[in-house]
Amino acid sequence: MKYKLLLSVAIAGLLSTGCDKNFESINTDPEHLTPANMNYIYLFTSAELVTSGNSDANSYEDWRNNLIYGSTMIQHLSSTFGYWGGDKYTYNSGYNSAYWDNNYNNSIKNIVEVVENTKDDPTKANFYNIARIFKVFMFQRMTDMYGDIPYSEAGLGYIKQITSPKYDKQQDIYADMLNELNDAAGKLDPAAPNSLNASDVVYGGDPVLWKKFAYSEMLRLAMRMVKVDPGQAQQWAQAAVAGGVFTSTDDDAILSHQDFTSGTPTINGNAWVLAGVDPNAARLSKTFVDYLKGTNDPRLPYFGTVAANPSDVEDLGDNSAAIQLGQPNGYDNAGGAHDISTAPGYPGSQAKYSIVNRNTFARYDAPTFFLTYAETSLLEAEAVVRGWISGDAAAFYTAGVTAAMQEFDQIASRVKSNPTPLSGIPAGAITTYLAANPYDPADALNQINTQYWVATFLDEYEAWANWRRTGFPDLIPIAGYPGNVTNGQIPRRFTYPISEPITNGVNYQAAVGNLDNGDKMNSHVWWDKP
Amino acid sequence: MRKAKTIRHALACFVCVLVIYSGAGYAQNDIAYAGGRNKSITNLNKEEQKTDQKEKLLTVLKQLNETKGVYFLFSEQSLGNKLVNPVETSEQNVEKILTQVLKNTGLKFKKINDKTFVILSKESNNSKSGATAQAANFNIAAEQLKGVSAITVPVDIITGKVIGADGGPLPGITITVKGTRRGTSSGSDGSFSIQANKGNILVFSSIGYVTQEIVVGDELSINVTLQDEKRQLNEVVVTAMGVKKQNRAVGYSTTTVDGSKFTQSRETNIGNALTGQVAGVQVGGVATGPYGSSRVIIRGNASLNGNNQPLYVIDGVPYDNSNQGASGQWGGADYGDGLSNINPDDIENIQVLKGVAATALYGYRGGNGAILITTKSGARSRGIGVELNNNMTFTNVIDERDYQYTYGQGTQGVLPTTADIANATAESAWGPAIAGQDAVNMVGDHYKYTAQKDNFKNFYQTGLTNQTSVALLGGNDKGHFRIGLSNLYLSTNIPNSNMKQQGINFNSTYNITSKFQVNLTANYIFEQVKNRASFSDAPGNAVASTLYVANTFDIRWLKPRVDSNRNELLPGNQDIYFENPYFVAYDFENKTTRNRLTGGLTMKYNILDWLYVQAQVTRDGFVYNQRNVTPNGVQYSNAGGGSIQLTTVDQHELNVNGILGITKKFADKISVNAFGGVNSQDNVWNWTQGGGGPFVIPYFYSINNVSSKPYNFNYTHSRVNSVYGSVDIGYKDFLFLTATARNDWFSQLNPKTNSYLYPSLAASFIFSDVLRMPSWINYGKLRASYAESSNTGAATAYQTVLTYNLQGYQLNGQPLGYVNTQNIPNQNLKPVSIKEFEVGLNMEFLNNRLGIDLAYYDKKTSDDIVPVTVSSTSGYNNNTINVGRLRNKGLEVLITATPIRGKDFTWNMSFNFAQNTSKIESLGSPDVKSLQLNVPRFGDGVSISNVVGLPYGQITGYKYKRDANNNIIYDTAGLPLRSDNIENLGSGVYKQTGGFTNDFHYKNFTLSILIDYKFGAKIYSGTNLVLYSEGLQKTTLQGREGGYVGKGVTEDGKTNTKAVVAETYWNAIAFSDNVAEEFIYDASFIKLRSMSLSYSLPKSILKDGFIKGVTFTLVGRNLATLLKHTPNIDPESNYTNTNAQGLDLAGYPAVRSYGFNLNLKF
Repeated sequence: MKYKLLLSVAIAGLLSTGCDKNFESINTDPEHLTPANMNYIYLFTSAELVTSGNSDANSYEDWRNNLIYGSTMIQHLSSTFGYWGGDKYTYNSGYNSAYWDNNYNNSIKNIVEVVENTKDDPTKANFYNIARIFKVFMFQRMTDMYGDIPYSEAGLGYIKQITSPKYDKQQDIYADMLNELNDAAGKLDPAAPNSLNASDVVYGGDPVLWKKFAYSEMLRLAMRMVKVDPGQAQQWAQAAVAGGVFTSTDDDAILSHQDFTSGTPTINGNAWVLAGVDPNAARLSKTFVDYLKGTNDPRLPYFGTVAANPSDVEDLGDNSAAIQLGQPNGYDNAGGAHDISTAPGYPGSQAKYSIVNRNTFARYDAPTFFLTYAETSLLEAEAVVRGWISGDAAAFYTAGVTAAMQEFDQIASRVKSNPTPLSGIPAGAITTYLAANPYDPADALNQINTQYWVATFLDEYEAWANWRRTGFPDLIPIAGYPGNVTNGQIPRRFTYPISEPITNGVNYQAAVGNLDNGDKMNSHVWWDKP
Repeated sequence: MRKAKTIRHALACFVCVLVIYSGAGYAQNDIAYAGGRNKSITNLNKEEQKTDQKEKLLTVLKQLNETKGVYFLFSEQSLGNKLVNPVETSEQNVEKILTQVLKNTGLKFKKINDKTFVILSKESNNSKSGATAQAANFNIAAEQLKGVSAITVPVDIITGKVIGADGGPLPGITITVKGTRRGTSSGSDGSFSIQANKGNILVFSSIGYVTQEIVVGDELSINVTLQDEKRQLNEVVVTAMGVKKQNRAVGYSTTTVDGSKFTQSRETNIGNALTGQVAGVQVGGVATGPYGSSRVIIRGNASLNGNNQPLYVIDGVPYDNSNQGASGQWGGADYGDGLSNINPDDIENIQVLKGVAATALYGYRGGNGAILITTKSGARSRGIGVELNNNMTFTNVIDERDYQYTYGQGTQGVLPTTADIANATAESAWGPAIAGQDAVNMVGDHYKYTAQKDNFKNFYQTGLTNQTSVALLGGNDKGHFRIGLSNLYLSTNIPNSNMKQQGINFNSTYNITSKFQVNLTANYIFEQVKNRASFSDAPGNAVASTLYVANTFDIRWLKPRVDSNRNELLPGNQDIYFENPYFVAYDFENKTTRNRLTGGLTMKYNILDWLYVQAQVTRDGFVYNQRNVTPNGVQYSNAGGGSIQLTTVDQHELNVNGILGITKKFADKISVNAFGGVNSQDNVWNWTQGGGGPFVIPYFYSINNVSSKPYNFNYTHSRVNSVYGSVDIGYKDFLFLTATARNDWFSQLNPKTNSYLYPSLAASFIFSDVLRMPSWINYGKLRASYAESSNTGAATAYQTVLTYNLQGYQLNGQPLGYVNTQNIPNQNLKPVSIKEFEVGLNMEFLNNRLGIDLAYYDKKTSDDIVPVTVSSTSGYNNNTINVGRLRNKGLEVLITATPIRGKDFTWNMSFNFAQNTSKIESLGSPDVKSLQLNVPRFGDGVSISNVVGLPYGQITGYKYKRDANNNIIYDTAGLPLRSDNIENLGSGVYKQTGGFTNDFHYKNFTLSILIDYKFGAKIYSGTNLVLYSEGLQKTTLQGREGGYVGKGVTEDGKTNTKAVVAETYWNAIAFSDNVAEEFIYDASFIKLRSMSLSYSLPKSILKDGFIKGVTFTLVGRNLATLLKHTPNIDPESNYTNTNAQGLDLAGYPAVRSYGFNLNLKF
């Protein structure tokens, strides 16, 4: 009897609590932030960090797009390893798409979240406009690599339920990015309270510096259009200079990795590859070293070093200028016709070729340069040469080269760990160099853009883009390597991810239809008019 | 209830309350009825009136024999003349009638079985000990009741013992002397005595056993072993929620697999042991290693990308079988599932519920079928018994490699003559012809350039499995118990890897009163695994390295593991992910432990003989710890600095339920079994992970030895409340109808749409009981059912809103936030819907020696929850929505036969066959044609996808481009062009599966052979792709000298004559211009899956000694592949147990095992 009663009570009790009582509280995640309590400045920090090139502690986008392809295509570096296909123009779809694969669903999603969630909050107007400016920088890099890309509908999978974003034409993207920069820069208010502060790891949320960044980025975009739309290019270059671009290296957009945490994406991505996961694969390119040697460039010992055992990541090597040696591009270790040992002047061991200096660019705590005064000055010099803005081309050239050489001071001041950093290039050495290599109006475009090439060492996305728009420096492509996919020419773009035809087929096909040679590495993006 | 709810929802909840309160109302009525016992006055009068009109017992029993088909035995012939009450109403069951007939006559009856009753005089049976003795002296055989026959005077008393095939005593066996009225039944210890003459035939019979006849000879002591009757006619089967039913009353397909099928040639994972055993149960051929996960699919994949595996229930406790990690595109280890936590020695039997009608009572999680595991109990034992079992097997890797050994390591035909060249070509067999030349390896040592065919033999070792189980069991009239202890040690073929598992299984039932029963089951397991193997992509994958090294490369060169700097000694320096297998085996570390307790407490109270209540609490939970160390010196990660990661999963499911049920017969024609109940299921999952690197002090692998160790925590909590009910109605024992319904409420769903109802209806018709059948047809049953269910419910908690998280590390002191998911949250998720219609036929022929069981089903899934892979440019990788529609149709055939049944020799065979046809019907929008499930490491456009209009799990990829005459078209460089589009290359899911079992019993020997087969699936072999590229595959011998000229035409239609360097040609097909078609193989196979030969010591040797039974068995598993089409790999080489079947790449090699099993009973 008791049991029956007990059970009846138990059943009644269970049901009196309702079939779905407490379900809403049960279904609330107690361990994660919701839109109600999220502070979006932390997404902005992530967006900045990931854009610096190491989204996943494997540094895949940096490794594959920036180094394996970018650095060797542009002949800053050289590799004999089979999977380093950039100077042999062989194809790897996953390496082509690594940057896209690691940013759209990460940094771009974050910046879109930030923009969408701050746009209606007047107390965060500066934050909102800073985010818009940085978003332009992120998309500029993406579209320069791939051409037409999802832009206006990108990153809106949750906010607007767009799961197959259309590909915007690069021409339209450029137009919109320029307008965005113009509008956002104009709305930055130096008097408004700073809601970002240190969470903005580039400028600490300073609207004045972000304004300069916006106009310097505007100048970069303007100059990019020089081949395809000189009229627009000129107009926007003028607007940029009028708005106020960088005026010293103090304005540089730099992300420090000095408090890096080992084994996490906070390490400098390039360094993580060159002195971490893939230390023996890359050497300085013969093209690059020969150029630096030919001009007695004081940067050579900062770029290179010769290590007895490159695989030993702690081997700092000997960086004296005299023994630096560039490895020719286009060779392998296969023992056949392209074996490095058959290269003219082979020094008998690959260890004798220079690797990237592990006390400057290849330090784990080396800063990442997003956009610099050196680049801006050189672009201004070119704009003067083209007669688009007024000023002294020689002065801009001198300022640009000087700023580029001062980068090593900037590195030294932004590293914290061992080893003790190399001190920067003495002012006297810079003066000596400029005296020996003065501005030459007769060869101005070549000279300016070759300096731009040197100044963008390891920002290979930028080095490659600038080479594609100007053709300088005059690189000799590697012909006839077996299995090359570009008919022996330096690639002009990266291919889309192989997932796109499956997940976003209609839009993908439309974008491919606009390419002059299909979804291949030798098709041209819009501003890279063949 | 909140006001915001829809009316529909409010109504549903109201109904649920109503059902239960009316149930409670029932209970109150019963209390009144039971307590009052107030019979009506008219009844009393009737009883009195009848007392005078007595009849002879023999007359009454003859009448009952004719009308009810039952037999009677009684101790003295004189009893037949006793006067008893006449039959009042024959509409009742026999027990009721007998109670009434024998009332106030000084007689009573005892039920031997459903068809046999013994009449006893009350006085003669007062002492308890006398019951057995009395039973031995009944001397009127049931058959003789119909006529008067002479009673011969028996001379001898034959005594003996009846035992079962397992050696245990069989009580209650009917023993008759053929041609006489003499009969008896065996006692509780199986012993009997009967008077018989030399030459008489003794017949031993009972339901569930094969009837045996023995001629009485000179021997006065006869011991008889009865074989289990394997036919399902009168078998009792376990159905959903643990309800036991006569098989004849079941209106859907269900199969019982005896526990012995798992104990002989055993698999560590019980799921894998089901292969070939049950029609329609497909065990995926997964190369996940001996402690990896299994994949069991019943009646096809019912979900596009959700869970397709059945619900596992152990002794009524839902059992979590989720796997803790599988290999994927980028490699990784398989961390196993729940099924390796079950000791086969504890399994009494496994009931496979295939269709939705069978499982609809499990509500939202019945849609994939259910596997009910019943553990052994002490129910059959009297007193205390001990059972001891030891199983020891050895495993060897089956070397499936069939490489070319004509050309050796190198590239472009160049011999490795320097360490640099050797380093650049470790994975390349494009060198010169092998001729014993002097060559140099990657460390600079000179060696003779000869074929190295023994790399497998040299690297892999013999594995050992040793499982010891001890069971202590006992029982008496009040209850019974069984405690099983087990210890498992398993070492694998990859060195330095093993598993240790200790388990305790407890199962006990106790009758506190005659009406109140308590059952407690508990299964505790402690499992430790050292170094689970990684598959697919190369990092940390010992299998890959062993497969990939060039054919003149001696794997033993890698034995030093590290170079002089203590860095990993790689086979070559061009691919830091292509690792040293010895380093992987000895220096990498992954260790897992699992503490798991699964148990349930059930209390049942029989309020009346037709009314019961039951309350149950069950819990299945485990704590799982995982420790991964990437060692110092590894070349690909953390600059050789190493890293460590510790993971803990703590999860449990708690179920509380109550049932009120009735079992009643009306007018002796209609039987009713019904129950209603409620259940609350609560699931909690905690996940913590911390770790970091590099190690501050190298080679000291502790989490305390890394300077920063980000810590992550995840938690989910969900609840499902349910109300359910079931009604079984039987008419005259030949027509049965079962209706069930269950309503589930999910916490994970939007509160507006969180209630779902799952009904079922099933009918069974025993036509052989109604229609006149030829004598060679013994039994015939038709069945039909329809039911609705689900298989994923609402997936995991918190999928409806967007959340954010912070990284476990900072940048320059600044926190880093991120969106917590790559899955677009969806407010409108609802459970998957599965609807199934099934018809079936069971027939038995030729004196039950031939049986057939057929089933046809049509199963439709709609509203499938699909994480549609979306363009990552949306910011997300997946969008989880209810869009999928698919259908599975199939036929299942089981044929059982006993070709030979003799005194000494019996041959049983069983053949099962299943065909399942699946079709993806819709993925929502008409624009969406395919859903990608997974992609392999290598291959452009290659994926496993569900494609609209095609069977489940298509392998996609490029084909060769062909002209109208099917000629391959070549470009000007002589390389084949590939199709313009990504094509569908066939399904990775088998269409036809089955098995063929033969059991031969000869005296004390039993030989069992299982052959299983699967047909109609394809596999994309990444292994062969790599071997093409490396020049190890035999196909790549073509064109080595003078180049390869592809057979086909040029783009302008002329015959292709362009020769391409073989290395370039085969590499292009594998990598740069990947043609997936080339690597698609037919995965069909026939295998000699298992074989065992056992010998039981005859009872005559054991006598009545301390030892009751000894069985020794030689066992073998995966003994031979009789048919396959896949070069270099086993056809069952899928490296994961996920839905994406059809991908091979460096999975665990197939293994053959052989050994012995020893079983002792005390």
